[in-house]
Amino acid sequence: MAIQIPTRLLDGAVLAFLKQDDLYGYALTQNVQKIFSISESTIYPVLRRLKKNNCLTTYDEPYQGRNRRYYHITDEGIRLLNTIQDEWQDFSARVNQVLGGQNDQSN
Amino acid sequence: MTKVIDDYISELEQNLADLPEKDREDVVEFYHEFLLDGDFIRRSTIEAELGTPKQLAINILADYSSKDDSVSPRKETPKSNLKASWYILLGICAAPIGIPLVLAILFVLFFILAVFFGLFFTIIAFLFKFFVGGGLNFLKSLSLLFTNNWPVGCLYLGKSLICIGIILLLLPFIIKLGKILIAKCTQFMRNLGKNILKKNYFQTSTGKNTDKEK
Repeated sequence: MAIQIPTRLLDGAVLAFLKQDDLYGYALTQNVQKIFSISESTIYPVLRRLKKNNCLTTYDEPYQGRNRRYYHITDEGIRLLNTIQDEWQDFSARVNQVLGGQNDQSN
Repeated sequence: MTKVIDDYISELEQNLADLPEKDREDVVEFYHEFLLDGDFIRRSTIEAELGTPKQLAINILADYSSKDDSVSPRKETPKSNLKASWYILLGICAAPIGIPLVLAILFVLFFILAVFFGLFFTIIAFLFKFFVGGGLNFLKSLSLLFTNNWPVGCLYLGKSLICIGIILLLLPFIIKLGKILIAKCTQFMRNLGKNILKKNYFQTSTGKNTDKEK
């Protein structure tokens, strides 16, 4: 894919996954990577930024003698997710108007 | 098996020495957990995913440096500012935007710095001349004071005192100007870093995709 993924959409994708379930760093990275082929080192800055803006909280759970840090979406995070979803609906509708295939038939 | 991971993580930690302790612990813990969960066994696979510890550290530091709203607010000193600029520059070089852009940025940056510091040093040189001139006048006046020409000596003495006075008045201002210059340059770098790094940070790796397709 030659199109760059805006930070905003990556934030949205992370929040969307966390809305379904609390996840730990590796699982979350895997999920995001199934959709966008981003490098592994991009997720941490996203999580850090979202946490700083109170969009998510963290808690540790023991796993095989060590801790796993889980990320949990907050109400603030859900609000941001809704905003990003609306923005994306609007934006994608506009892009489809120009680039979507349906236009060719109607004209 | 975990030794490979431990080695990688401790190297990463060493390269992050400039990060505040709390931030460093957080990021190191994240990648430690990441590598353990990913069952990475070989160093080569880790580096294929995350890059070398040094590359990863540069990415992290650039990310921290280009955000002015850092988690733990640090005091801005000329030294820390210059350091931040350096990390951002390294980060830009590491970003996948191609050498020509880096060269262009460096070129522009060089010119801006040259203009700024050119001005700065001109002022310093001017003051220095003033200072030396003042000192010479002072010596001259001392030798003249004890001769018949003592009124001329007084004149020189006065002149030299005025020079020294002006320098003392201007000195704090000059130092402040220098600090402001460095702060401004850093701000410029931060904005540059924000624009360039942010846009490219989440780029889908075109290279990776074509590799897979082949």
